[in-house]
Amino acid sequence: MNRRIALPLLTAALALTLGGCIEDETIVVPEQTEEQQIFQRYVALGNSLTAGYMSGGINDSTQRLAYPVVLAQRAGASFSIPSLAMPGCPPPLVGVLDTDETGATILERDRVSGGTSSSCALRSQPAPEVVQNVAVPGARMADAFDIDRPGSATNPLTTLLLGGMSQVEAMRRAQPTLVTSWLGNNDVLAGALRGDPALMTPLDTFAVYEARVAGGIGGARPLGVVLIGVVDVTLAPVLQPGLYYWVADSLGFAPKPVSADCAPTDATGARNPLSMNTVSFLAYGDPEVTVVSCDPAAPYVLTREEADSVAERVDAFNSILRQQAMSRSWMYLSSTQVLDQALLGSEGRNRLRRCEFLDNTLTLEAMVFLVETQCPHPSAPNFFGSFVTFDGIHMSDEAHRFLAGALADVIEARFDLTL
Amino acid sequence: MRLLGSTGWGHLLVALAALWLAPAGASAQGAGIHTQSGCMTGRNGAGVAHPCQDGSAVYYNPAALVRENGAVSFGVTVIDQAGSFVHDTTGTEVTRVPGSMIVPHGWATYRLSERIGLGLGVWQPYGLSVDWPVCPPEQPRCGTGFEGRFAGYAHSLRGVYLQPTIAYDVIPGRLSIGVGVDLVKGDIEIRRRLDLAEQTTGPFTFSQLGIAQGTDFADVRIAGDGWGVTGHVGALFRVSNGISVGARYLHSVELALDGTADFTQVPTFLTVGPLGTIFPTTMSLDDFIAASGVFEPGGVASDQDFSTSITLPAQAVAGIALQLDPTLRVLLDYQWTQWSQWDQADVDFGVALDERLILDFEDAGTVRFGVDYALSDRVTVRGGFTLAEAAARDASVSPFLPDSERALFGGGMSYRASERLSLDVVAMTMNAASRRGRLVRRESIDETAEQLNGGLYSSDGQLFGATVTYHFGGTR
Repeated sequence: MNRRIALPLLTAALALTLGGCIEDETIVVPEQTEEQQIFQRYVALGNSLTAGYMSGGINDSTQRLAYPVVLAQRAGASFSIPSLAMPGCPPPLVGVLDTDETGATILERDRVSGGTSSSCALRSQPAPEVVQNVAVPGARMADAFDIDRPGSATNPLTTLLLGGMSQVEAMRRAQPTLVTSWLGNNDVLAGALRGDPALMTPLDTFAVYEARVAGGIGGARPLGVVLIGVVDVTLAPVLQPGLYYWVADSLGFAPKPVSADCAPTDATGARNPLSMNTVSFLAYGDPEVTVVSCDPAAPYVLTREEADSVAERVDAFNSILRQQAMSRSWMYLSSTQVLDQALLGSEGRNRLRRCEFLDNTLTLEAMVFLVETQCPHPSAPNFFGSFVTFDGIHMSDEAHRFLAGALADVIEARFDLTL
Repeated sequence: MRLLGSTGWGHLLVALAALWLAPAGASAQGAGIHTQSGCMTGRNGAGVAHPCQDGSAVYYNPAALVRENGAVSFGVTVIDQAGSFVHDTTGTEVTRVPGSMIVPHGWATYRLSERIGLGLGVWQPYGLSVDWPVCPPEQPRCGTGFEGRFAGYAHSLRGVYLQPTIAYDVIPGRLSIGVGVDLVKGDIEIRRRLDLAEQTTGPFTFSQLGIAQGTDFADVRIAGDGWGVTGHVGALFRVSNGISVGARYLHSVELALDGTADFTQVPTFLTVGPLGTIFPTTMSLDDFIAASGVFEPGGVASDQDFSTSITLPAQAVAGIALQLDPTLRVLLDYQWTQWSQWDQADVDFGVALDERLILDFEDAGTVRFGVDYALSDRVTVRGGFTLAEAAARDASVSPFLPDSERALFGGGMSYRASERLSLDVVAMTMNAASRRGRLVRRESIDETAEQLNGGLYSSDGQLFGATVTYHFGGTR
């Protein structure tokens, strides 16, 4: 071969060879287990329960106890929260009951670090690049995708946690690999707490909102989605039979006087059916309520029929959620089943104090015994039970761990993992 | 020897002026551009020891002007560059906005006497143009915007040189030197978004109020230009009939750039509040921002003047040319570019807080190898390759300039249509190493690549060029 031909060929060969010497770098992806891959960008939608609201307040400490954080920790995954600076917004209560200077029982007013119910510390810095717990206290199903519509449940935390974005938008921004969604509790809670079922979200409206949220989640194309069923809010220890308040008043730990219409018998000695109406603990905290009453016309009172309608609405919501999960091959976790499991056995009684067997057929001694051993009581863990914090509604760290375990079971089964 | 008439020179100057003003930008190493002649680019730019006879010796080696007769040439290089960024955490890939860049060049040489050559050139040895996608204002969180947009999403830099040159044959037929004075016009344009989360309202940052990181609220376009003067020297030594060596040195030039920074509000479409006294009611965040007056005259985000300076680095090239036989020539060059002069740039704004852009580049070398092979009296084919080190340090790979080690291969062809007219065409491809880089601004020189870099930049490109040359005064 003469050099006229050899040289161009050599040039081409050299070019190709040296070109191959250009060394590419690669993206830095830490070696991950399968669990970590699925949890790589886990995003939790929800309301106060998911956000880590406890004892009537929320701050960085309570946020870090929430079940999504616990679940991510179990998976060894990072999980960023919209951390609220101490003492919180508002700071959590430090108890349920207190005594005033006269020794009378009052509702606890002290909050963490001396804050008040209107105190609101801002977000901690530096903020995470992407928020993974996008839950907002107070959020109803519709608020998860639209916070600008008339009547949306906006509050300071709506701005502080997501800065004006909806949960669905924040979720999509995080490009999730796994999503859990526990929404719908606030679509029934206000009706139960206020004693007005009309405050619940109508079923057909809920179905429309739920479909839009599901569409938003599906559009983000996560590897896995768990829908968590609406909790039966009538089981919250903040709701107790009126008789309980009457016994509590008799025992001297009721912060407000209780009307005779909550007594086990009426003036004629007959059983008083009003005593079995459900009354919300919130009646104690409402300055417009001077005497706790069991009259159905009084605020914070649910008749048995009303309580049943709330429970039915919860069932109907859960039916929608379950069907949505099935149609999309998503996972579904029944919060009712989780709660039932938690309440099994003698340990369960102290986890959630409910006056299940308290009724007006019992003797006073029996009623007192039940209140002291099964109902919310100063001697009970956290007053309302070890699964509940001082506001009687929101879960304690123990309950969050329990729920995280139940979620882990569902995810383990779906993906054949060990969390 | 023939000359262009006075009218011809007038046309030439007008044409050069047009080239001077034309937009352009591309980069081969750092922001360097070495494709200033169809013939030279066919050799991958090698030939400081034997530049092509199309007038481009004004750039490739001023001393060679005494080795060629008169020529006037014009040409363009069209550079198609593509690139992407893959985020470490999300694996999301963002692709650069595609676009072709046109880099023009123009040369004129004149042989004044046997020992003196003159030349005039206008070309662009420095430039870059990098565009990343951002969400349109009407859809601010479209999900496909480049995450590095707050460091910058559209950049262009251009250094255009106008160089009158004289060359002298010191030892006739053996050693010549050339000297040029360069009048340099530089301009820069940077576009970026501003992140509301980092701004303050009263004693608080918006991030403390919950505004998510990466919330666009303003678009800023910073554009300015300036002038500078520098010099260029070259030497050429003919060792024997078949062997030449050459070298050149283009000095750096500091450009003082003045211009304007134009701010435009980008709607967030977010609703905030109620939140204490800051947002006493539910309100539009955009209305809140507008009412704060930041975009009003005198506000920090009002349109305002800015000034900065940037140094276009020095470059030195040495090389050898071997004439293996009457039809075959091989050329090898090594170029050193003083990219370390790109260390930092202080940007002074009229109202907004001044900024320091940390570039932190380092000197880098380039090897070029080329071959000329004359197929006939009319046709010569060329080929070669270039290997370029990266000028950006590991912590300096940014949206502004995702620089990396790269290889270029290409070839071209000269066609001598007549004694007076020749055409050169060239095509090249660029293979750049994928390189880790950052999305954020570097606030301190102490910040390391490990702290800053968040993903992988990749780029490649193709290049096409052509130069038309009018020869006069015979052929040497």
